[in-house]
Amino acid sequence: MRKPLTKTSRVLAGMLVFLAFSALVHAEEVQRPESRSHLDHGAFFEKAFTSPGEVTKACLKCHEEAARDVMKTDHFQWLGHPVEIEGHEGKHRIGKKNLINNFCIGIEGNWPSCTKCHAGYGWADENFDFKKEENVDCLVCHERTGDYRKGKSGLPKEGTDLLASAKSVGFPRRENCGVCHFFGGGGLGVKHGDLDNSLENSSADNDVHMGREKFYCVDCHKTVKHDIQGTAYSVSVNADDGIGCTDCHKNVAHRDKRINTHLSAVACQTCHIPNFANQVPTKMDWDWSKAGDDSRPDNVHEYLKIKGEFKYEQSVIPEYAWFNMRTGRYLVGDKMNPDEPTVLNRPLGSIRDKTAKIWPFKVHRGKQPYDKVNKMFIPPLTAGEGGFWWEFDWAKALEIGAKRAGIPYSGQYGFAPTVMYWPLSHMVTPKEKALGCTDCHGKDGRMDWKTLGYGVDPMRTGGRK
Amino acid sequence: MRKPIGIALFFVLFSTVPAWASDTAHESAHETENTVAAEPHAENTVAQPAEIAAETAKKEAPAAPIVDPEDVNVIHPVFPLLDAAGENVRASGRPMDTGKTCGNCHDTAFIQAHDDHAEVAEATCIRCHFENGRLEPMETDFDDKGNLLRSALGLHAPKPENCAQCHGLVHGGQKPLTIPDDYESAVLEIGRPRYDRTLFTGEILSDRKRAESYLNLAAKDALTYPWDVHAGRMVTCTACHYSSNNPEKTEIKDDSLPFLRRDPRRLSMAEYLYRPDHRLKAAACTDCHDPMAAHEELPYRERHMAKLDCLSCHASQMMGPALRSLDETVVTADGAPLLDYRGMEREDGQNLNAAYITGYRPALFADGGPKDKPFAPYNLVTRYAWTDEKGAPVPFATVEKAFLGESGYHADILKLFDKNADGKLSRAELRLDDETKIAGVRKRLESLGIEHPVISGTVEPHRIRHGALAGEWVSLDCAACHGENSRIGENVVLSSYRIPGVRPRIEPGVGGPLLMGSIVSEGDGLRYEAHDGAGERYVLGHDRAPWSDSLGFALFVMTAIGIGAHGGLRIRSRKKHAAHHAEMKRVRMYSLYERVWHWLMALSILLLLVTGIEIHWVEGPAFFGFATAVNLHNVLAGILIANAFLSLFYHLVSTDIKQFIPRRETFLQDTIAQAKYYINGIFVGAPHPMRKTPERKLNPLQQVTYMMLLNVLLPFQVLTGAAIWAAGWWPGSLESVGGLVWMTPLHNLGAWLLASFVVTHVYLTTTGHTVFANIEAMITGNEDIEAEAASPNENSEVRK
Repeated sequence: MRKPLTKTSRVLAGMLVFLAFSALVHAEEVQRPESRSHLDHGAFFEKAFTSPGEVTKACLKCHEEAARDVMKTDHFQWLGHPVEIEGHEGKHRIGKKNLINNFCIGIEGNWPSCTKCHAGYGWADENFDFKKEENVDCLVCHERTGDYRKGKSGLPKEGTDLLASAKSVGFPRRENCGVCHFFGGGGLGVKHGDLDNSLENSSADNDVHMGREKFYCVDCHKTVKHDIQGTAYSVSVNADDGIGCTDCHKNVAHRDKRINTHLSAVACQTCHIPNFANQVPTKMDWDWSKAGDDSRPDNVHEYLKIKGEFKYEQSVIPEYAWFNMRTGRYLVGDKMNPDEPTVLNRPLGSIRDKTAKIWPFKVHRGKQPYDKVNKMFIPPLTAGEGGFWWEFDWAKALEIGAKRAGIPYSGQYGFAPTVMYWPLSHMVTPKEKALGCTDCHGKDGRMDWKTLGYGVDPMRTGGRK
Repeated sequence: MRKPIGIALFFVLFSTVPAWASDTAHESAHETENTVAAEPHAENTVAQPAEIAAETAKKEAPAAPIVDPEDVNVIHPVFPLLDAAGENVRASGRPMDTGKTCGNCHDTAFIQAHDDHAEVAEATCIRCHFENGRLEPMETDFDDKGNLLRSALGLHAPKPENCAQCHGLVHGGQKPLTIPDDYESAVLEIGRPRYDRTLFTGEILSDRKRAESYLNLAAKDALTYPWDVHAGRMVTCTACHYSSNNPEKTEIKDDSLPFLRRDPRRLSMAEYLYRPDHRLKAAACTDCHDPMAAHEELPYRERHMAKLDCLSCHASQMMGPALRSLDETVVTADGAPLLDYRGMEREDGQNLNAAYITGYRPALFADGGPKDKPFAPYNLVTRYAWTDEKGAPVPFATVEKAFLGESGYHADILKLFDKNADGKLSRAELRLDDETKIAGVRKRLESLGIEHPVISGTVEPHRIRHGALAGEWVSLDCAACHGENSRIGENVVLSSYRIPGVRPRIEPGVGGPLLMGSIVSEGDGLRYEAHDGAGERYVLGHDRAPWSDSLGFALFVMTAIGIGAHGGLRIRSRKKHAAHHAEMKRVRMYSLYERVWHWLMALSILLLLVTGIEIHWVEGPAFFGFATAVNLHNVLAGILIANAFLSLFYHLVSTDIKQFIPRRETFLQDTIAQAKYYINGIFVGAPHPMRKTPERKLNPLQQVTYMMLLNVLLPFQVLTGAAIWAAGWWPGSLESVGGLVWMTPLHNLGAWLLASFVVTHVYLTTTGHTVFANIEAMITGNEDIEAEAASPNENSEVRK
């Protein structure tokens, strides 16, 4: 006589399961990275290593494919896959190896100092062997002692305890990535503006992911076979390998419906990264033309005889531009116009481009040497025999630099303004501190509506149709 | 005769200083007072060179161009500045007259006659329509013809900054919000406080987040929303307060023509600009917003919208420095009246920006009585001031003289007030809280020529009208109103001290709320005690009708006592008298449907009681939360009604309805027998007077009870409940039958009756041949009944 009761309880149980399930479905709006654990490698290494290549060999005993995988990647090649570039015919392989920027300009001829940040050992000249497995540097990304430092040509500095580093290996921490990406361009916070060592132990306000949520870089920059996902527009022209906010934040609808009307024209970053370089100043301007002046005192943040004059800024309000995730690119040998600033990586897109959104950028401005006759930027030789940093002779440094880059040099040089755009994606602030209406709209707004193509504040005229 | 509307600006050309000097906001106020009294038009604008020169010497010549290039008006024609005689001021050297200058193109006489601000001499054309309220042109700001250059034309529709010159704190831009230094000293300026909206209500018009301000706000980090949502979304003052004939904004449709949606005949822009009607509109929230298109999560939104002003919820915690009392009977060392703020912890002499602001929750009062107008949020400000015999106010300057001399307080005043003799007067000391102090000050006032000065006290309700929060920041806290501590009919602390012999009177104000409560003493201070609102309103969870609860409770208690006594007696007699044993036979007593129906009914009634208790008695145990309880209560009522009708259908079709209908011929006899059994038989082990069989399950007492329950009490509950529910969807639908004030207590009484029934019903189920026999039968459907035993009562034999 208990049948009806059993039925009831079945129905009740069913309802409970349904409720629990729907609760689960609701909770799963943001995918958080999984926590990882790494096998302690302390017991695998006993004897002291005599050379860094030996460490790599030791790693390869078990991780047989690792070096071959790394050697294919941008981190080792410093060249990407062939890509089409706006205004250039055919496909080009571009990367740190062959591009110029408006910081230290180019690596051609300057290998020993630039390749300090190369994920390999011994890239001192054009004869570096990219095929040799033991030239791969495993430790720079995986060691966790914090004492491992790379020096000239990417070799560990004298006295580095390779054994301790090898024993300590694990998944890359923020510091592993930061040793190059926080210090790129020759010093702390020089290049990106949204990447500096304040992220190593970040406050929630500085970066909500790495601060409040304790993310590691590799939680977002996911890695398959050592190929690390992510795009830096200083060396890339598209987002084929990019990471987006929506990879994790699946539901981007905001509680306030007004905000949602912005989503087709405004990138997440625009409101959620109100300022960059909040803790550590970043370089905003680099004037090479002032370099070589003996009379001026050296000061890392204002003037160095070898590099010229700088401007640093902290807690900077970004500049905003339409961006469809592709950029143009100035390639070595391209003609330029010295009378107007040359944008080395112009973000593509406009108000009429439906795929473009308004993005925040760190805009780095510079003045760098060019050939007055051929109208080309010349990457000078900096370090070494005839290098500008050694001899302070532009004519000589440029002549050698041009020859190495394989471009003509007339012997007449000048300095022309250049601009680089660095789209911001790090230093996302907690939502409470994101921009509000009046930060962009109204009299005190930070947007230049005319330049963006709106004419007047779209609050009054409506967004682009 | 025409009063010039713009008389505040004076220009004097100095040959030595190549700059045009004019007033600043402060001095304009000062000078206007002098000039406004002068009757003849011409005299109004005659400047006294010596005085002006002295004024000007104090000022620095304006350095930078006054008009931001972005704010230059590109449409308005350039014009010369004219004096009262219509001559160019540069030629005549006389002060500018806006009546003539602006009157060149605009009908200033019309504007003057149709102007809310006409009484306020400071509200000149320039004050409201020029950048920063000033027109201070340099020598170089004129062209050859004597016209003001376009670059100096900072002319526009009033901006918030213009309104802010008189009306309250307005803030914007990157600099964090602070309370200005003159916030308190401006209290008595130009007859009324310059920051009046903020001072009296705590409203601050700023687009910046509260958390970003420099104020010391409680739980500041969580206040990540703007001070005022409209400011935050760049809806400025003139969006709601606009000229009432502005063709861009106003609808001139005649309400008596309902078939007309819009009247296209309206002023042209040119006509409007010639004669703008300066009697400003104050747009209602609903002029722009459709509240019914939002608020999905609010139960009974129709009723909430009808009974509540939007700001009741959208400005439920005021965080600006709002006054609680403004005491002009005493003077602080700075020469200001004694100010006391609501929701603020402030030490003596502490800067307002450092004072800890917890804010206050405005009480809700009905505008013009609770029956027709919605409840709106108010701040009650208590004001004390000296008046003379005839009730005319004593100027504060005189009071100041009575307290302060050249070097601080007069010695006798200091002696009178300084309790701790430290030579200073703290805020606590500086109160007229005893007779000797009052007498002392009175004597001083009399010596200053005031005859029989007395203290008047008033309580002013100030309605909160700005500082709204966007919906996402409004907390849906039902208990804020539906609870013991309701904002509706709330008691409000008026002041922390009392002036002996002075009982403030409540100033209703124009169109203000009816404050029907009274002012009572509380501790050292005063409190506004709201009247209980009985017969005027009924807020679920807050208001109760004592008669309904006492009557219901008494019934319930009596039932419980009766059952207790009856049960106790049964237990005692159980041992003495063995139960009547007979041969038993198991039969199917209740069909599956009957059982499902019964238990569904039982479950819905129990849950209705539980949710009902939660709605009625909010401070009691909370199972679901108020809003859920209300929704659940409605859903359960629906289930109950459907269940009742289905069962009626079942009983009709199966003819089982007969079970409920007493047999007329034997009803009286049977009833008496049944009653006798309950009163006596049950204790002595007598057999049931009626044998329960599947064909006849109910004894006559049950039949009567269920008849009453199903035909009277349940319909009564359903009808009263439905009426209450309907009042939520169609506010006002109940007014003809007394409104919720009557309906709710009746429904409540019905609930008490139902509860009494449930208790009795459950108890009586234990009176079967075993204690749980009846309950088991209702669960399993089967019951043991006496197989052969002859019934003691032949009439109740089984009918075949």
